[in-house]
Amino acid sequence: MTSEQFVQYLIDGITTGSIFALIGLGFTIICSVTNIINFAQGHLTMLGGMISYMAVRSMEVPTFVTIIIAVLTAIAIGLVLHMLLKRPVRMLALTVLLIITLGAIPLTVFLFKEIASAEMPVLAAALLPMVMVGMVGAVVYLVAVRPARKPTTVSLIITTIGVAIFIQGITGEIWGVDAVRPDGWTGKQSIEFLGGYIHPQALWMVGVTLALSALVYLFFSYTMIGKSLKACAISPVASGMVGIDARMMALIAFAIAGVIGGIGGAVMVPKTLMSYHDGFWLGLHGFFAAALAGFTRPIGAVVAGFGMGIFISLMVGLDWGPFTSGYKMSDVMVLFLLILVWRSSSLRDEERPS
Amino acid sequence: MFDKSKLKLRYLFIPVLLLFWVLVPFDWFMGQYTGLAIMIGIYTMVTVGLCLLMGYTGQVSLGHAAYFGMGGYISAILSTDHGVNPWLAMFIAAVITGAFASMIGHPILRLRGNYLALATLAVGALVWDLAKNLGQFTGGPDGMAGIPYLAIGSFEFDTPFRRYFLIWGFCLVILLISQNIINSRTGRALRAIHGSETAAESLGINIDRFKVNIFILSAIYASIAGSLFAHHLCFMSPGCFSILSSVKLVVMAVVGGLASIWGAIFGAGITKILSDELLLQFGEWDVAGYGLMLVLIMVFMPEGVFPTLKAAYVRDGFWFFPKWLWNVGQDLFARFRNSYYYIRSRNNQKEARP
Repeated sequence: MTSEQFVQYLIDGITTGSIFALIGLGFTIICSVTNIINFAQGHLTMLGGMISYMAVRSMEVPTFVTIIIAVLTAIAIGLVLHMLLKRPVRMLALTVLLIITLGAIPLTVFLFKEIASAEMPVLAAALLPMVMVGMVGAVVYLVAVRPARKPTTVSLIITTIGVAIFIQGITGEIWGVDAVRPDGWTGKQSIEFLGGYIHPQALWMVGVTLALSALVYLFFSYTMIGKSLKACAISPVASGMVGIDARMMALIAFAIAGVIGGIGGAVMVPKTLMSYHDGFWLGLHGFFAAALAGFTRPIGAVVAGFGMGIFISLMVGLDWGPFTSGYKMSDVMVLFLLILVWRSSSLRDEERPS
Repeated sequence: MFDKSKLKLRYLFIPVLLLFWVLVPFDWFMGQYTGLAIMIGIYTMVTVGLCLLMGYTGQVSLGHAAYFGMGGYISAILSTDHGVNPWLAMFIAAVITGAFASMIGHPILRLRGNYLALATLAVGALVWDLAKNLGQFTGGPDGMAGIPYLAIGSFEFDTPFRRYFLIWGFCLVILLISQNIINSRTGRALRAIHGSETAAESLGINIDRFKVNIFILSAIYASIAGSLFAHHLCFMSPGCFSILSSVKLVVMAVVGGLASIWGAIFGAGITKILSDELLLQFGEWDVAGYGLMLVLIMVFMPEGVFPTLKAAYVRDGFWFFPKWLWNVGQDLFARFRNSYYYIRSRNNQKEARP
């Protein structure tokens, strides 16, 4: 391997790693707060990519999609009202919710067409998936996870798998089974760097990942909600005693994970093709990044994601014995299993009894 | 437990069900569904193993399709390429799979909860990826064709009618063996491990040995089912045991009720009939419909369809289903109306997990 090749493989590894890092980040936020492995996280990312593609090509938006989005928006607004108001006035909030639902449909259709117009493609490609997938994340929690009675680890895993399959089916219906690839956010010319070439979208990917990780870190360290989330992750009982509502924190965690998934999908889709069945593989790599970081440290998941991307890329570059591109999945699995087994005694203490 | 006098109908049910079961493959009865019934039998065997592992011992496995695939492939390779007698090939496959499960099980079963789920998922992905890549043995992604039928002397199981009785015969033997294990000293030890590993260990139960042994047993069940699958369809490909099919196996176990051996038939039956027959009526929306069904079942019947309905029947008699629906509706309405106070009272009773 020459030094130019090495640099190129390293760049590719960091780019792929940023995807794993973002998905791992979403997993970790949900899992640390609620102890649920959200199998739909990869699918949320895929959905983000699809919505981004749709936003860039606004002409192709089917009307019923905008109506679904409008209803989701209305539900989200209604929920916010529901949370803000005290109980005796909540019937009022429900009435307002109904009115908003009726009013929001034409408004969202209008806004959607406006934002997605060709003048601000980057804004549309980034913002729409972020908002929408964030809402989908919240709705997933409210509709599928929260109403579950007597949940166990297995039943929650299967619930989120059901959600994942549902999202996959819906996506396949709306955007078809072919892979989509919108244009990059800025430019098409690759940038030369130390003998390697960087796709401009790769810079966006790494930049967005780093920026989001920093934001998540700041959010968890310096805001009241972030600190409540952290408290809930450390001990749900103790945080309940000081007045933190565990269910509200879980809802917020799901919404944040949705936002991260949405923007992750949006930023990766111009570089890597995306089709409706990619969600599972994205999710799988994200799990491993999150699991290596112990499901509790968001920043650890980001580091593990980057590490995994670089490991896979350099291994493919090595091209020797079992370390070839054909076996990259197997190699990652073996490495993952070895690390898990090696850490099993310490993981045993960390794992919360459920 | 429940009042046995309310279950008098079961003495009528069993002969009727047996008669029904014998009549299924006859052309004048339900001959066109013989293939489906055979598949239900094959998956019931795997599901029984999963029930033993997950429902009774409390260990999650999201990679059980790997052992199914190993059994199928080893049996296929030996009997097709090396001319080994199919019965012997099936036996060798079961032995090799059991050895593999023992090798994997000892380190992995020391993990718990989410980590165990991910580790078993990684094993499933590993075996699947190897089957795709080791093309010189397994035929790569295209799979292997031309696997011989099973035969006793000159009596070959070459029609679906004959294979139906062969496969359901195996299935019944496996069900009876499992029933005996559950009602024995071993079964009580397994349930003790499910309840509390610490308590079980302090009672003198060697928890590692029991966990690994039951893991090996369920892997062998899956291997036998895989071999029968290969000799039934005369075809084996990596698609037959992808990660999604591991998930579907868990779904079967959960739908039938994790802690019920005979519910496995019900779980495999419902899931197979849903995905292979009923949902096809919805055309291209079948994938989304499957996901939706999964979420609904998990939300409203977290213990599985079979145990929930059985308990409702024992409680409410003939009109159990409308009563059950009414109760669920009332519960949902009450939770919606009083969500604030509901959460408060729930918090007081036990740790609030979403």
